[in-house]
Amino acid sequence: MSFKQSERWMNDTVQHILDQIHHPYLHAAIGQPEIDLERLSLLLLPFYLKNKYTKLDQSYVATAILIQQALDTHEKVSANSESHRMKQLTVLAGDYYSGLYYKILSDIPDIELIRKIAHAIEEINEHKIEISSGHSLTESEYLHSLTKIESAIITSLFSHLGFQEMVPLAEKLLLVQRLKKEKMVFSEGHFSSLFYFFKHGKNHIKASDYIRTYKSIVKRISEEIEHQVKELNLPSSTRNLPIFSSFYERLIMYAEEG
Amino acid sequence: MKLTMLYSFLKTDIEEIEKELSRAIHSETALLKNASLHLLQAGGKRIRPVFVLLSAKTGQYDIHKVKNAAVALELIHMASLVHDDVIDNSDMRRGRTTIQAEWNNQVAMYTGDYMFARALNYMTVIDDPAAHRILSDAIVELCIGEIAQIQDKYRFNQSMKDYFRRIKRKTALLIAVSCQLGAVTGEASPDIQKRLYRFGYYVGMAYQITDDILDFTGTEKELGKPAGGDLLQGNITLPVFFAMENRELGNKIKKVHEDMPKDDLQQIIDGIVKSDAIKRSSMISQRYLVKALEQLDTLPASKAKKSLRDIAIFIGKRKY
Repeated sequence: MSFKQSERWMNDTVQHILDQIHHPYLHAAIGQPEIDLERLSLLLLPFYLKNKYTKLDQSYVATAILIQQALDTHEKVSANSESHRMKQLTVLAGDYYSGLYYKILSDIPDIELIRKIAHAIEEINEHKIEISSGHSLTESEYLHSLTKIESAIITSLFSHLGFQEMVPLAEKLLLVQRLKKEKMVFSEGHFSSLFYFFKHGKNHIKASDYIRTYKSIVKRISEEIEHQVKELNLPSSTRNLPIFSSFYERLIMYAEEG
Repeated sequence: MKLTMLYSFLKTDIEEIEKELSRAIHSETALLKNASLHLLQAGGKRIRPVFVLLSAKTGQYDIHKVKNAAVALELIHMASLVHDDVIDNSDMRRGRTTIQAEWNNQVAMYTGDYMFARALNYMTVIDDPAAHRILSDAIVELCIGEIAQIQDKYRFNQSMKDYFRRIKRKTALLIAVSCQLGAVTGEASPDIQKRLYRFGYYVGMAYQITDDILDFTGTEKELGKPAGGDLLQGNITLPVFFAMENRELGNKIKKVHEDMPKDDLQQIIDGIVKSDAIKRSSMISQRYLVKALEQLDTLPASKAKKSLRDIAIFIGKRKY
């Protein structure tokens, strides 16, 4: 299939999601939700490989994006320093997106997936509490929690649709994406869960070693991603998908840094 | 008379629901478990599970099946309370500190999302797509209603229709759906399912109007919050609509704002209570109640029918 075709799928799906969540008052007040295109392209990857993407597939993909949108929107509540009304509407927007994903799956209907997704959301919130509760975690515990938080929804969907082989790759790609975001918010002087972990985790890391440690973790996971890409024998055209383009940028960066 | 006495024959099943709720919120993550338990132990009327069970009695009642809908609805209600406390910045609920006050907003958001997910998990035991469509539609409408409530705050030129649509979404739908889902789970006839939905809807409307009246007539001790709190927050309720028909009182009401001094607000509350607004609102509430009871007329006589009737009357006449 052509890159143009995959772009069309992306655009159609984004439009479909925006149509689903359209609420003039809500979005005038808190802003139009931003769809994570990297995540969306990862969700589309198995369909890209199959060269087939039906309306039903689109509903499944939209569901996964909506749930993530719901969870991410709620994530903004505590950090939100905007007005009280903004906070109120942010809470309700997340609840609204949650209701919508349940409605889509009920309309399909796919009760089994509702169960799997519900379980994934339980797990995600348990891990969120775990890493925010100030417990001293090891690096592997922390990264495990972060992996679940970022990928439990997508991996539940992949498993449900029979794309089990994509799960390890999805986990690693989303973990790196999250680590990258953590570094960005830290660089901007905001709170970062990762850098908080570096400071307060079981193996306390000196501030001067933060970046080195970050790079070493990302490099290790990137190598695992490269291995997965080879294992899955992904065609080179997949490099054009947003989730991979940033990954290959990173690989080039590491190659240049030696 | 206590509400629980009106459905005492369900005592064992209600206890089972209570145990199941405890199991439902059990988490290996201590903080999450504690936060959820904190709310669960604060109690509550558990009116939604009661409606589910009583409605299921109109069909083939199986507690092992119906309890899943009952637990799911209570968990959805609890999740919405946790998030409501973040929305309202509330420190107290049911005489206890709220999760956001005891811990923080973040814990409250995670706990609410966790409870909602647990609710859907319980619902999926019910392998009937219609049940899921009913509930998911109601949840979306509930959220739209909550958003509308914020949009309509201090909007004194809104219509009464806006108010009724808002309380339908905010309160009546979930009670209506509790009754409907009970009937669906008990595989009652489509006609009974429809009647119980309408019964729940009318009861819910009467319940919310009564709640809105009590905001003016109740004491701080009874309400667990200062009287007139809804108006202070900009919520235009039925008594306010009626009170605004008096031009002088209406002009004062239109000046209400978040930081209004207590004495000024009290003057307005006194004005509303002295006017005919409370009486007229009570009449509307009673009208909904009569409509609710009419829905039960054609149902065969049973303990459940009597309980539904008694609860509706109790709710409509409650003083706090």
